[in-house]
Formats: sequence, C-alpha cells, structure tokens
Amino acid sequence: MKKIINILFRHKMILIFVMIGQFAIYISVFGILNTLNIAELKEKDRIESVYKSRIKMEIIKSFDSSLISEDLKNIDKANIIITKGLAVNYKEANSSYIADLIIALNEELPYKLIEGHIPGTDPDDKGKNLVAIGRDKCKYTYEENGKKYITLDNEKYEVCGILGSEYSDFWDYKIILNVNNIGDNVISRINELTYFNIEILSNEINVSDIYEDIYVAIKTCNNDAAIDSYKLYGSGESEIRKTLTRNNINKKICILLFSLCNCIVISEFYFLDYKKEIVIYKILGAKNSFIIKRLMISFVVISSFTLILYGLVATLLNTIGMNGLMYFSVSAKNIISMFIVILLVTALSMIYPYIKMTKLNITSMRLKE
Amino acid sequence: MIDIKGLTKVFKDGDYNKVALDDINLKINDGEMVSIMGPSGSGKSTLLNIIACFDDASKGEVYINDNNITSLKRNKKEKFRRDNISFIFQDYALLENFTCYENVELPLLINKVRSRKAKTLSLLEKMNLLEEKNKKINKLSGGQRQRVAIARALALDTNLILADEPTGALDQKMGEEVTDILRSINKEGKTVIIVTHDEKVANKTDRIIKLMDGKIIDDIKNV
Repeated sequence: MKKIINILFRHKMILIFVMIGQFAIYISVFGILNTLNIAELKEKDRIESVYKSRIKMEIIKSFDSSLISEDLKNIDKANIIITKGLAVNYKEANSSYIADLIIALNEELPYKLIEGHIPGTDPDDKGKNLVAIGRDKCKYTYEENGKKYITLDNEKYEVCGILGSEYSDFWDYKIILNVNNIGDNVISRINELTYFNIEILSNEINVSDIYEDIYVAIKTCNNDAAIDSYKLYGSGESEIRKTLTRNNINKKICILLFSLCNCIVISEFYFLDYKKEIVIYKILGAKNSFIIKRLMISFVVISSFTLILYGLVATLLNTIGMNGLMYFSVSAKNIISMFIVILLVTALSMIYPYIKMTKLNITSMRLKE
Repeated sequence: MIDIKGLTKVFKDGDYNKVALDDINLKINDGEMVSIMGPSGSGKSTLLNIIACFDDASKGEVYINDNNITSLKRNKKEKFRRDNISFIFQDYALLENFTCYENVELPLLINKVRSRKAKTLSLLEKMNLLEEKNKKINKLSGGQRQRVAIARALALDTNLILADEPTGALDQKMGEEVTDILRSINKEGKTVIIVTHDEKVANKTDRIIKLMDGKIIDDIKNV
C-alpha cells in the first residue's frame, strides 16, 4: 500500500490538478445520475397513479353557469374528477394553483399520502371545508388548535391530508378538493370555468359503460356545454423528458463534456511531468504497452481514490445539511456508471500520452552534442 | 564483435546539413574496453547512440555479433538493444523518486524476469549499495547514483556496456571509483565502450579512439 501511495504521489502538483479535474467529473456524473433517478422515480409514481380505464372530457361552457348536478355527484361507479382548468387562489402562498376536484368518489384513489386522508373519504368530513395538499405546499399552512389550515379563495380550509411519495416529488405540488367539502367561493369559481377537463376513472369497470350517464348528467345541467371526449389508453404521456429539462439535464451534460475534455488537457501536463520517467523506461527497453499499462493503473487508482474522497465529502455535506451541493448514493446503477466513467476518464487521459509516447525520440532527448 | 563500416550520420537542420560522423570504419573486439575521446561536437555521442540502437545511420553499416543493426526495423532494434546492450549516462538516468532497489530491479521488471529479488540484491551487494537499497535516489551522492546506474546496467547480463561520460558529473575520487568498477566489469568478459573527455579515465582503457569533426583521427592501444 505504502509503495502504491509513493508511486502515485511522487508528482504531487499534477496529481492535485488531476484529482480536481476528476472531482468535477464526479460532481457532474452524480448530478446527472441523480437527475435521471429523480425522473425515473417520478415517472414510476405517475404510472402508479394512472387508472386502468379512463375517459377525458374536454368541456367548454358559458361563464357563470352551473355544471355539477346532483345526478353527476350521485354516479355510483368509477371516480369523476376535474383535472384541468380549476385554479384556486392560495392566500398564504400568494399564488393560484391548479387543483383536482373530486366530483364522484366510488373507488380507491391512487393518491399517495404521508399523513391524513383525502377530503370526502372519512364519515366525519361532512359539512367541513377540507383540502389535501402536497408536501411542498405544506410550508404555507398555519396552525390552530393543533390542526393545519390554509385559505383558498378567501375561505378557510382544514388540511386533512398531506400528499407525498417516498421516492419522488410527483405528489408534492398537488391540491385535492372534494365537491362535498368546498365553500361557496370555490363553487362560484367552478361555475365561472369556461374550459376544463373532467376525467372518468376506474380500475374496476370499463368507463365506457357509464360514459353516457355522465354525458347526459352534464348536458341536463348545462345543455350549451360543448364536450369533446377521448378514451385514454396505456400509461399516458411520459413526463421523464419534462422532468429532465426542468432539472437542467442539458446544462449538466455540457458541464460533464467540458470536464471530460479538461481531463484530456490535464493528461498533457501529466505526460510532461512523467516524460523523464517514460524516456528512462524506453531506454531500458520498455514497450509502449508496458508504460501505458503503468500509467493506466496509476489513473485507475487515482480515479478510485478521488471517488472515495468525493463520496466522503458528499456524505459529510449531506450530514451537515448542505443537501444538493454534491449528490452521492451507493446503488448498483451508480457503481456500474462510476466504473464506466473511471474507464472512460482513464481511456481519454491515455490518448495524449500514448500518441506522444509513440513519437518520443529518445536520442533527441539524450543527445548532448 | 562490433564492426562499423563506412558509418555516416548527417543531421538536417533546414537547408543546412551537419555531418556528425563521416565514413567511420572501426572494429571493437569482444571483451575490449575502449574509450572514445574528442571535443564537443566531434561525434562521439552520436557514434555511441547509433551503436546503442537509439539512432539511425545515414549511411554505412554497424554489425554487432554479426547482426547488421542498421538494417533492423524500429521494433527489432528495440528488442536487440534490450537483449544485448546496456547504457550508463552522465546524468545517471535514474528514477529520482524510486529507491535504489527499485531502480536496479526495473530492467528485470520490464523484461519480466523471475526471481528478481535475488538478482537485484546481488547486484546491489556487488556495487556496495546494500545498505542504501531502500534509500531514494535523491538521497544519494553522485558516486552512489552512478553505482546504482551501473548495477542497473548489469541487471540483464548484456555483453555490451556503453557509457556516455559516466564520470562527467563526479569529482576525481568518485570518477576513479566508477572507472575501476567499469574496469572490473570488463575483466568479467564484457565489452565496455566509454565516451569521455577525461584522459585519466581513457588511460585506464585498453584502447583510445580519438574523433574530430566526425572522423577518427587516432586509434591508440594502451599498454
């Protein structure tokens, strides 16, 4: 071990630059891996939330006309939810957010909760203004008598459930309301909607079987409403690309490419530092493969050493609460990725030394006359 | 035996051609200890570099043990050098951050020789360096460094030892010590060729070849 350390650390200055270069590569690679991981887990949560049978109804209606009839609320199969178009004003957050509004609830909901329940799913919910909000929205709540509250459209709502997943932030920004647990202001807001989507969702039946009943219930209440309906198949449109874009994946890839190019530049200085040594090897009859093998082993050991150092620093930063500066996690995928990166960095770093070594003229370096 | 026939070396520098060696004819017998002398630029190191297969001849032929090394391709030349020739330099050409032991072991390592330890230790003992075996080169005196270089040159048991001003960086006492070691190596049957400016070193060799402007001007047998 001591011998290896002696061999590696005999060119201290260039070693520091090599390690800094590799450190930058690890920051980029783990950043990218983390982003990919987030996108995959979020997609997994999204897919798990998708019902087996779905129909989307795009509705255009006149301003200030009612749409939600008792007939619609009393549909006794599948879940009926307004999924697009309803924005409520969240006073504490000083902003408006899109909310899902449950109109009819007959099946288990796929929402993931970290505490509480979804409005309308508990017998005691009757007559209360209730809301379930995502983990991220929790920071804007206020407490009274040990309960959390928020203000939606100037009405006080008790937070009966907090949405969130163990793996991703898919649920963190949601607001879920139930038509039976909303105040007059939100009802007015619904009546004022002119363009929105209603989805008929079920894991138990084919929603086509009840579509006509729902269509009639809407039309009975608002005959002027224009309805375009689509049956949705599969797991819907993937959100991976959107998540990656939101997390600046392109910028991170550019930084990685820059760091990889940088390691080629540093390898030039590495070669210059080792030039005398390489000349001596060649004088003693070493083949290029012998020299490059030694350089490669040095690089693999340095890369591995830097990776351990990176892991320690990242863990330390995460421990003291500086999350997000450097990502590090041990998983099979990460280990394989890092193994590939180490090999790639080593291969890239060997390009310049190898080309130079094959052209190295021992005589010109030794000729004194 | 080394047989050099009509050896010419011309260095091109733009439009200007410098003749470093001009039609050299020379025979060196096995087991001889020869010194090559001459002023700077006379071509002595160029001659040594060509014999050592470090450089190519512009014209002429060099035979070492009946092998025409001037006609060998680069890879074969390197292999020939590895198997037949060892080199000692004025600046020692040692790996500064390595120990004496590691430097002497290096040619054995490169040539994948087994039982390296015994061989390395015996060479260090022969050069009276056993106590310094774990010292790094940068902790040694000039004389000790050159002894390490000689030990390294002997590692592969080659029959031809080429020394380019081996005493050039040493004081008189150390220089004499190194020359005596080279003499004792020669007495073991190895051919030793020394490039030197030092008459005292040259006088300890069997034969002195004097070069001037790339030509042999004198070839004296020492009595």
